[in-house]
Amino acid sequence: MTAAWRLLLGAGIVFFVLLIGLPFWWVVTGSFKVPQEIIARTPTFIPRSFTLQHYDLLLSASAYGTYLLNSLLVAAASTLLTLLLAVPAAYAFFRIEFRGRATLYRLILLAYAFPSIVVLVPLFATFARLGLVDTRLALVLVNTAFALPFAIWMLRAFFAQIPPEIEEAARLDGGPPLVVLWRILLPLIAPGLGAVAIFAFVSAWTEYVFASVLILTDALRTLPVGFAGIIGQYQVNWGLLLAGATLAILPVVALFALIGRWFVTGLTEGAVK
Amino acid sequence: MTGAASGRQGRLAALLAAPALLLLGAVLAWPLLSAVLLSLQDVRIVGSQGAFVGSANYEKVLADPAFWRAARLSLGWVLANAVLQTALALAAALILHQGFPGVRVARTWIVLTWIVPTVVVVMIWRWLLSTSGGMINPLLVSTGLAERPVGFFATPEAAFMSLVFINSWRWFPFIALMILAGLTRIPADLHEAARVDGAGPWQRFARITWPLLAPTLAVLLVIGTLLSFNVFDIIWLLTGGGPAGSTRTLPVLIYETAFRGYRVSEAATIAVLSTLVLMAFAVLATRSLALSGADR
Amino acid sequence: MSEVRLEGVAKSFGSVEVIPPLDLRVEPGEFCVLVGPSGCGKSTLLRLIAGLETPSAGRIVIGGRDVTHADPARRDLAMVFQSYALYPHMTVAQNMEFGLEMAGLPKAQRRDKVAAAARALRLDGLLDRKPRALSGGQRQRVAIGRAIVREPRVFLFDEPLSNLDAELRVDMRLELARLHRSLEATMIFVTHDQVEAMTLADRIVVLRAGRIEQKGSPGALYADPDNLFVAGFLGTPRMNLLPARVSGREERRALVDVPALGLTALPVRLREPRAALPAEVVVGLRPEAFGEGPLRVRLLPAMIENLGASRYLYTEGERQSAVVAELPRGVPALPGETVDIPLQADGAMLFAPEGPRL
Repeated sequence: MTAAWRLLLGAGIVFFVLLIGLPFWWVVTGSFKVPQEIIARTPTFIPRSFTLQHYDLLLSASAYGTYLLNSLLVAAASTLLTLLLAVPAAYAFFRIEFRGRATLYRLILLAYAFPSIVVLVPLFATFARLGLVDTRLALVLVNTAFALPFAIWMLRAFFAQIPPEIEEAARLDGGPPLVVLWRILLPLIAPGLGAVAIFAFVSAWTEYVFASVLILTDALRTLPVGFAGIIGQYQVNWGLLLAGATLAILPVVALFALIGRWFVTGLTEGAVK
Repeated sequence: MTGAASGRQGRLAALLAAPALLLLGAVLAWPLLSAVLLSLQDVRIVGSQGAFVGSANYEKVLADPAFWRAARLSLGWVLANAVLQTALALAAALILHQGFPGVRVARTWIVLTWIVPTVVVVMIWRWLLSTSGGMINPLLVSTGLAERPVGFFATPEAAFMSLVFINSWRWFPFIALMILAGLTRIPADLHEAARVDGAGPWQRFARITWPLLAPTLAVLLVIGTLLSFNVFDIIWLLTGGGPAGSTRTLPVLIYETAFRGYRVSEAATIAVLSTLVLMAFAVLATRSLALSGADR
Repeated sequence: MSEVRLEGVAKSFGSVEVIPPLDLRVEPGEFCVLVGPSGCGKSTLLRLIAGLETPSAGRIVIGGRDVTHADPARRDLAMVFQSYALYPHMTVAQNMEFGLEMAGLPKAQRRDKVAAAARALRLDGLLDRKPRALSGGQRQRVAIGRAIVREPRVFLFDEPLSNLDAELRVDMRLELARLHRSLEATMIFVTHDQVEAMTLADRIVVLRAGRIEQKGSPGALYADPDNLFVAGFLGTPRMNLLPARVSGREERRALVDVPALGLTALPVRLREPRAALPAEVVVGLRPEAFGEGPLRVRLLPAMIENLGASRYLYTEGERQSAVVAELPRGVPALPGETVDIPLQADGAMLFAPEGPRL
């Protein structure tokens, strides 16, 4: 590698680290700065003050804690349901020959091709009839439905990696299909499950539109909607908003620290084959 | 074919896929059909009933300048995002494909911008770009790059470009990882062979990486287009479609028409029209790129 | 120990007929090797017996029970795959135990059986390892162990030795032969390697394009092939199949001229003394027919292959027309220099150009 090439690479790394890291650095550090420092004319890179007052105010004056809890509930339930539905479906699609499977699979992929906002209006009407409006269950169903096509697609590569003989050997060993799926295949696609879990969790965690329309009661709001309300209410109380942003980042960052590498594997390998 | 008895296998497949298909049918397919029905009726408020009006809504929408303006904005939005997003993503992917200390960590955490709720993304950038306080403007002013704080959302053009930047900022790492996937698929021995043949880094990129990556990029462009067309929350939360409707893309228009204007049938009509265009695009794109192998 | 019987079994994938209707009986306790070039349908045949494929027609009977549509698990057989197909996330012990667990055996019994099999296969110290920590040969033995512990009546092997290096392959061949003697189970073994077939089989079934070309003991197939294909398939180097003309006839022999060897009126024993003879025929001569004997032929070597114990002479030409001859000990030979070698043509065979033995 030539020196010029290495310099270019280094510059690129710095650029992207700043592009992605700097905003987050400012947000997280900002949330601990006293208000005067936040609105100072010359921004500080390294905070000169430390306070928890924004967090105090956020958690006492708003229902932020409730929103956070709702979001965690909805995201966790959506993740679970996505896994429960995507794994058997992917198994059916990628390990069993049946008529019409290619067509059906393509149809599922078409789900990307229409604006989610299209179904918002009719879905509201349907959910209203079923009494699902203003329930967290409604959000779980919607989030799962929107995560499913991608989840199934991601699992494809993982199933494809397992040689068919392993499954055949298990069948010859007398394992019924569901036992083979549970005991042999699932452990082998564990990274894929991690990837799907993260994708489903993140999709649910970040979802705003459906949560804003399908939930009417403040106590059931998820973080994105609730936080949007707080933003509207506290317009320029940046300290409080930065604290809210930091807290909203925290759970996904924690989750990502745990199984983030699987997600990257899942995404990269899923796109490969 | 792995079936001992294909009938039994078929039943098993149906049983396993049924729950997922049912949910997709209930939450995606059925509402999509309802949207088509709604577009043929005259329904004003969500959930109410309306008379059948045939193609009246379509005639009305197609004659509405607001619809065409939103369509143009959506086109611009999709194109601008495609360019910025793909350029950033390609650069990031090429860097992540190199070996440098910390590359594994970088590969994982690059998606930080994507795992954060959109609302938070919006809040972050509204603060960073704010004219009162914030980070960018004080920086610009104190370094003398700007005389006065820049209104990043003040003019139609600025607002549109700021939104494109923020949306691309959120999505490019996701695309970058998928490009990285395409890169890792290129066998390392090809690069080594080229190296032995005396090709430099640039030649290796132009003669090996690029041609082999192009199909992946094409797929991602299609997916990226669909994804960015559908972006609603970032726009809605940052500008609400303003200023002066300069960021009112089709999804925003649909939302406003249904939930602000109480013209549900009209919103459904716009939705159906957008869906048709998107599906046509998706099908044509996959066909013409001969990517059918890539999605099966 | 069970008999395996295929009655009119056929298999098509879509419109492609891989195996036309076929009958085959494997005797109880027999070591039967299905051999043929790649794509001859031998693996498909094995998978049909295993129940991993469903026949398009016909019946499969194992141990007197019709299992045509039975689940693979209900056929009382075990299979060893070419890729071994070990469960990567399970230890060696767990791999061997899985089938027993599925059969509902109590834990203590499972342990005993696994331990016994591990001892027999010299896997004792490896029971807690994962497959990826094993060498190729060890993996192979685990795969066999997984089959043994279930004590099936029929063992199926799908090219189990082809992923091993040459030396290990010889070891495993001996091991399998020993195993077959001690287990006394019916074994059906698929391979494309005719050496494996010759060394392991009680009976060889030669397949081509889904059809059985010939079945019989290795000795019988080698000495008395039914047709050109079988003659050419078994034996290394392969049999010389040389174009010839019929010039006359004695009571049980045909007299043929073989231009490639410069021989005229060579007497070749006929299978059917009264059979009609075409004018153009093919004479089959094993390379080891050269070296001693009453006849002499002059050959121009293009290449000499020295295997240590024996040397082979190849004349110029395509694979079909070149002559391969084993060189007698002590006879010097160099490429490009004509040599005079003796020939014993008693074992020569005659084939019709379309294939059948005459």
